Amino acid sequence: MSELLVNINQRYKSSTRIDSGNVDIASFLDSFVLHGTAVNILETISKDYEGSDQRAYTLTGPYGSGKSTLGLFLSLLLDQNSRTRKLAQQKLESFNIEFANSFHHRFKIKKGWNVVKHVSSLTSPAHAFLESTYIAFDIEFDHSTIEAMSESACLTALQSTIESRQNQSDGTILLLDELGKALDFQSRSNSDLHLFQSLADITQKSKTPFIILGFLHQSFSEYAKNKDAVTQKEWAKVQGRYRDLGFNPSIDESLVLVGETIDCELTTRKALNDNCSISLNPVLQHFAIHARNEKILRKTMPLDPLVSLLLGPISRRRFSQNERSLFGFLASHEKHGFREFLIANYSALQDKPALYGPETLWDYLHHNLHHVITTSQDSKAWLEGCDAIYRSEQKGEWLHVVAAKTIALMTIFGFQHNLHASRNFIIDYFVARGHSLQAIKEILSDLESWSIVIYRQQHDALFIFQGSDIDIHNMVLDKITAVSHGVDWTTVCQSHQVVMATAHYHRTGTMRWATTQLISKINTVFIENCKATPISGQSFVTFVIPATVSIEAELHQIATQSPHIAVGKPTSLETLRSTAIELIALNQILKEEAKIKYDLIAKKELEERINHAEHKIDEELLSIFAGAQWSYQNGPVPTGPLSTAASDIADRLFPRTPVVINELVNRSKPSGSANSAIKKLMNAMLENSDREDLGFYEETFPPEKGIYLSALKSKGWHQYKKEGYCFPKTWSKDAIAANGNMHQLYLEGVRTIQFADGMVTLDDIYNVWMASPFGLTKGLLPIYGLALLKSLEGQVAYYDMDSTKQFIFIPELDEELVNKIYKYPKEAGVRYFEISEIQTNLLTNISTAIAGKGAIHGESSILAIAKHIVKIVHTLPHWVKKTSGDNFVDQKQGLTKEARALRNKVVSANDPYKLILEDLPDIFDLDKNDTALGMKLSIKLRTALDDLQGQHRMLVAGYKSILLRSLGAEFDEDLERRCDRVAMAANRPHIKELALRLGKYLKSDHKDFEFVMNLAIGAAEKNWTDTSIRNGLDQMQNMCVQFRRIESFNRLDTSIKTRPIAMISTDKDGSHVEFEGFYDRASILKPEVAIAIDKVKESINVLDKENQVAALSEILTNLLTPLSQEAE
Amino acid sequence: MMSEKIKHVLGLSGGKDSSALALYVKETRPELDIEYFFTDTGFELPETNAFIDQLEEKLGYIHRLNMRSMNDIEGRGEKTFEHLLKDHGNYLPSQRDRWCTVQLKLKPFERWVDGYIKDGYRIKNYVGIRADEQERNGFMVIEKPIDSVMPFREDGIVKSDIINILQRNGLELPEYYTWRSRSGCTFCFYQKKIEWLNLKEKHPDLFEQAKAFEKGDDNNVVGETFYWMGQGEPLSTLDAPAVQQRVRINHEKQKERFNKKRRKIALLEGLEQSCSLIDIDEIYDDVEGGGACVTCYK
Repeated sequence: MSELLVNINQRYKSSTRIDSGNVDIASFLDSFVLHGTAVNILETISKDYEGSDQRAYTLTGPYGSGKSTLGLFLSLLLDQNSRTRKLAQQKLESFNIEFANSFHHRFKIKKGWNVVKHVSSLTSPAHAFLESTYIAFDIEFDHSTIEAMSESACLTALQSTIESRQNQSDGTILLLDELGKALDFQSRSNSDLHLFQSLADITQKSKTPFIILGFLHQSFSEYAKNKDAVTQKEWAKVQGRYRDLGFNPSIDESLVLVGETIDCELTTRKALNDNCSISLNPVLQHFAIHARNEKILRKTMPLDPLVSLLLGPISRRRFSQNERSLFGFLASHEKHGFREFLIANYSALQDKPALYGPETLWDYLHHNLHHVITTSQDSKAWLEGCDAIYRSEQKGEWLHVVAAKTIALMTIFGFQHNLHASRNFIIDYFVARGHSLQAIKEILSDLESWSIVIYRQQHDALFIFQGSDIDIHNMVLDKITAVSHGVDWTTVCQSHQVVMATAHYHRTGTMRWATTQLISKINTVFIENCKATPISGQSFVTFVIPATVSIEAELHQIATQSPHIAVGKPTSLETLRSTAIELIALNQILKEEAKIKYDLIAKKELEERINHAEHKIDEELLSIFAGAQWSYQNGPVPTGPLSTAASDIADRLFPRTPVVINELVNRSKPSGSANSAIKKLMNAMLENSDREDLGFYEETFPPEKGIYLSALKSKGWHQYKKEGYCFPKTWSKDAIAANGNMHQLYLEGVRTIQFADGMVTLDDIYNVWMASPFGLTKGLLPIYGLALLKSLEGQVAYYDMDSTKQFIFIPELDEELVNKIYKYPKEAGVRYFEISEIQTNLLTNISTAIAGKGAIHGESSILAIAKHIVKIVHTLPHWVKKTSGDNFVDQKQGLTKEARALRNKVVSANDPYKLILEDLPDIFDLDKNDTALGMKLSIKLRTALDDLQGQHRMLVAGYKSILLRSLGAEFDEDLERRCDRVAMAANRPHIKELALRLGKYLKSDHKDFEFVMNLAIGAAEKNWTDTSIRNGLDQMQNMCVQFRRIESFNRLDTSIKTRPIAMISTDKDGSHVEFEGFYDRASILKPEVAIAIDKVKESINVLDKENQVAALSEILTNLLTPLSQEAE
Repeated sequence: MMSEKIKHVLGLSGGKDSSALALYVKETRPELDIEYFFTDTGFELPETNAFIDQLEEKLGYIHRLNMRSMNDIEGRGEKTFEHLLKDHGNYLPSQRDRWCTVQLKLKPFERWVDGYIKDGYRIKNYVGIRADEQERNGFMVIEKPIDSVMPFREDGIVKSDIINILQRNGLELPEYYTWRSRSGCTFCFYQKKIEWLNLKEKHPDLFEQAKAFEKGDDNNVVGETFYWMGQGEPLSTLDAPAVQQRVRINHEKQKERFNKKRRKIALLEGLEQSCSLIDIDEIYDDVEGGGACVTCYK
């Protein structure tokens, strides 16, 4: 890079650290800018030293104001090295010789002072002070010895050390830079300020002169602002022991510093002076107070004079803290910074040298510091400025924007220093910059009419339009006060930190993560959560930090019962608490203050603050969790990063985790491609378990093969046994030795199935595997689930919950069930059926028992046997399947209770194992462990089946016998003829039908008597019911009576001359008796018959009618042939 | 000491499970003297009433609790549904507020058993929860000396046993099972759309009656209107042929899906297997009874 014509004097750049070792004294003094404020401080201290016993001071001033530099200068003035002292003295003299002398006298400098320089950090102050003192005094010490000392012991040691050097020096001065940090530490660790009071006491009690000078950014009590009012008061009291010296260099002094910093090559300086003086005039003219600074302002060029004036105020603002001092701006390489400007404009001298204008300064601030400013007290004004400039960019031209930026800077930072943007100043300023009067006037009137700037009479100046009337900053402060008591601030402190058990992962291949939680109260939900066993993919342990001391004990109590929480003791929650309360306040304002809704600027400011607070909470939480002391199961956890603790806990919680190094599947949420590989692998396990490498090709290497090799083959699941490749039930010794944990996992799976009371679902097995001590991940569950089931083939029955929501027995593992194992483990069931000797015997016996019933003899698989039984029952006639078993025909021939029970069970059975091994012994009330079970059961089973199968035959037989008895016939040709006759003669369709069907039955080799029965029962066979069957019996009898009646009256003998006669009466038992006879029609015409009739009439005429009937009936009875008696 | 007096009661809803339970208890526990009851809401299906009559033939006397149950009413003076609807601000009962069950089923039952309780009886109430059903409350809890007995659960009786129990007692499934899966009121809001549509076809008058309840008592409805089928879907939407067609097509699709996902029962391989409307809730992937409690559904 070529040499620039303007350079930044680097020595001003860095802030001073008072304790830095080799200070080049000459150059320090050379670059040190002594100004009035600094001299005043020195004067105060020296006067006090001479005339009072005040020895303790605090120097309070903003960041970057040069406090430390002043401290260093003071130390040089008192230095024990006379040459150093002299150089410093000269510097002082150069400012004011009179004061320089009186300073020397007041301190009575002869040997010089011991200077202890201390920079505080967040450690115990008393110990750190003592160490710094030892270092300054060249005393050797042991850090740990000091650490072990109490605060008061430290102070005593400090005092005696100082006093020990009584003769070698004039006194000791203790410079405490960053004293605020020490105060912060005391505040956070909840110690009181007694230490600082004691320290102040020592300065007065000490036998040798002892001065303390501490550097602060804010007063003591400010550091205690998060404390309650009483504490704050106490801190203020301690502050009283220290004389507080304000250190706030004026704008002028800043100007001097800026001027000193800018190093201008002479010709350039001249060119600037010649060309840019005109720019200086409006400033000098309108800000009379700065007229005397003309010389200095010239020196600050090529900064625009207005920029130079604004830099001072800007550097005083809060946001300028943290090394962003004045010099930071001048020297840094940030975008839009002065440095960038110089590189662009001062590599070579131009005719009209450029000035770094306020618009660039605005851009610099906006680009680099926006986020900081928006959370500072300047946020409101700043955001208003941003809004105004945004609008000017939308509506106006370049010059509008420049003017707006200029006015904005003056509004925001100039106001307190009376740098008001009066209309005339702005006009003159821009005219001086070379714009026409007319143009700038128009610009201003535009800006005003667009409400970008506003004229305020009170100050006779233009200001950025205050879009917002709301002072968020104060509102927040008020709100914080209002909410800070009694609010549960932890509600906004949700820790999102997730901690990986990294070491555990590297060792086992299983990724586990822990969550973090800050809790303020223990409720049932929390306790429930602690008790719940996390599943794969859920956090296995939660690092919990109690927000209050009061719940700490209770939390530890819970932690003893739950292996899923670790409890931490935080260092300090103060910062978190105050930030959280601020966030709550901010959120409440956002919610409650209706006016903010309509005030975009205020809303934006509020949102920026909310963002900032949230961010800060996150950061603070991170550091709190990282810094806490952790305990697990009431024991310590290894220190170090949280992930170390997490790994330790994971190791303890899951000691039996099988090692599976496969990132594809050993995880709680396998990727899409991993899932497809898992599915392919499972299909291969289903189809090709008997093949080497499950039949994967040797040459290719698809992911499913990789999973197979790393998760199954190498882990002992799939082995070569004497019966070939398989998922063995018994693992080889080598496999067990190599995969101890995996074998335990397998055995646990077997046990879960074997010792369950009935069926277990795959989900049940998975839950066992996911819990401690295995902690298997979700990706591996289905693979091992299926492998387990494969290994138990023949000993277990499989079930699938189908769309009827019932578990249905599945004869063998199939693709659909494998899919369930993978995807819906709750719907895949398995049950252990160990076939004992008794049961084998049982099967053989049952097999034999049903052999004659359509089953293939020797078939002995449970399913086959059960199927045959089911088939026997299902192919029973419908009515037998539903009959209550009452007898209809014969008292003895009802369905037995056992047969009925067998039928009921079989009809609804869907599980062969349960049917054969459990239900059958239950039905027949047999002991399942009886060695003779097989024999006993097969006899009973056969009887019951016979009984069932015999029902229909018996019913038909019953109906037949009634028919034959009623008709007085046999199933022979005679009956056949009778049927034919009746079929012809019958008028009633019912009887005609009976005759026809019966005839048909007889003619067709006696087949399908059921058709005859249907007529009586009134329904087709499949609709027969107990009731209709019972009614059908009576109906059959009735029909037979009618059959015979028709026969009687329609005896169609070959001779048509014959007439039938029939008479029905009852016998002495009340049974119906039927009589019949025949006579020749011609008989009536015979004379002897006519005479006989008259005689009979005559002989019975004496009787009444009833007796006449009785007499004639009696005679007829003897004449006619009785028909066989009808049954009831 | 005097032994405790126990009254066994068994409620019939007209549904298959409670009916089968009554028959089953009679078969297996013939020594028990059981009082059967049927809580007539006044809006029962004609098929239900017919079935209850059939049951009465098999079981003996059945107490009819409630109004509208012909002349020999017990517990006269119950309020009618129309009356209760007015009392409830014309809000139709819904899953959120199932006041119908409380008013029409539980209260009459309570009043009835109170008579026995007053006489010093402890009540054993037989409930038809089957062994294959998930745990659920057998009954809305009443603070009274009433114990629930679940013989089906005790004896391992499952869904596939039910028909057999009915059949061996000479009964078949109630007639309405050909077009509807549940007993209970004609306008039961647990009905699926296809069931509403079937009601419209089988009993157009009862469908119209249900529709009329939706209109409420003129302008007396406060707030939003609720309909039997839920918000924004009055029964009149089912009048449109296009809607009817859609409902039927959807139902067929559901049924097809159900049958496709149904497992063949290995034991019945080669024998016929079929499905009926008994499975309608499963067809719609619902719990059996669609969430209605056993009081109405069983």
